[in-house]
Amino acid sequence: MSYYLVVYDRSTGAVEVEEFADNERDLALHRRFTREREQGKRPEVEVVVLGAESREALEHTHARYFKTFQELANTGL
Amino acid sequence: MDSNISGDTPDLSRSQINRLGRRLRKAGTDGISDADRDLLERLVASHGPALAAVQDQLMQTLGVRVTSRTKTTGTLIEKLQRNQSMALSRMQDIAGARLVLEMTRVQQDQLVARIVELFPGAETMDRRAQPSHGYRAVHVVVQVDERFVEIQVRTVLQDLWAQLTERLGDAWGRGIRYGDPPDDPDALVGSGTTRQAFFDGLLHQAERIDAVESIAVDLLELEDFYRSTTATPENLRRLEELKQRHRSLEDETREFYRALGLLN
Repeated sequence: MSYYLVVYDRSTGAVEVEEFADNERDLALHRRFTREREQGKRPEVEVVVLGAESREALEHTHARYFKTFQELANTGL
Repeated sequence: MDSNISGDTPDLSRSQINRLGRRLRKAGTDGISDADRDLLERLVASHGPALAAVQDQLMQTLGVRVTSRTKTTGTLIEKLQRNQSMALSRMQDIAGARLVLEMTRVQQDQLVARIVELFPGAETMDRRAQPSHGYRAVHVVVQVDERFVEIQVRTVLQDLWAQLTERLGDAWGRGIRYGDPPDDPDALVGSGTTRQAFFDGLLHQAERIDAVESIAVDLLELEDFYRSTTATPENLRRLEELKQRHRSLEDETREFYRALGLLN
């Protein structure tokens, strides 16, 4: 298991991802809280920690952070 | 004095949590005090062990991919503000796990049944029978170490619709996920379609997906039945009609996504 700190800007779709090891869950959460405080009054920036076996698993269940609207639509073809 | 009952964190009682929820609802994301942010972070962090335990158990027992997340500060406060009477200690999705699988609805039901077996006292919310503004899935809420964990079980089709709607909400206002119109609903999208009409089309797509998945189950049941009995010409005609209807809906579903993929 890995933990991923995802910082996602809803207004632009820009995303930053930082990976943490299985035993670093608390550190990942601490980083999330710090980033949330740093973002201040920018509600369009979402800071979240996700747990997943792999980056691929994460992109499978949380595709919105990683694909444009058009790319998402194209997966339905 | 606050009692140490279900919903408490090691150092936060249920009534403290609920008072925090009322202050957060009033302050909003912009107005949250440092002290309340500290408390909220402790509450969110206290869900970590339960969430990890649920995720591990699901993956090991079911052999499927499961991901997890704790709710962000912004979405948690938005939820409190949308649900004015909700007690923070009763919020069931501060911790959440998600499974997205290529499966039929029958298989989705079977998977949910296995999850419920794993966690005694689990409660199921079937959002296929009671969709939330187009959103369909099955949610199972379990309790581990007095923490709620919401497990979302989605088919690939249900998930794609949810992801598209979330993505659209990022640009047009997250309220569309809860029945609000898009921001600037009369603005034009692509070839002369308004945002509102476009979003109405996405809601219609949710109904189409529901029909595709439901008919697929009917087809499997009918084909299974006809294997064990002698089908009459009328039975076979009915079966063929259903197959054609299913193919037609699948084509319409893909065509809708093709049109979305071409938008700027």
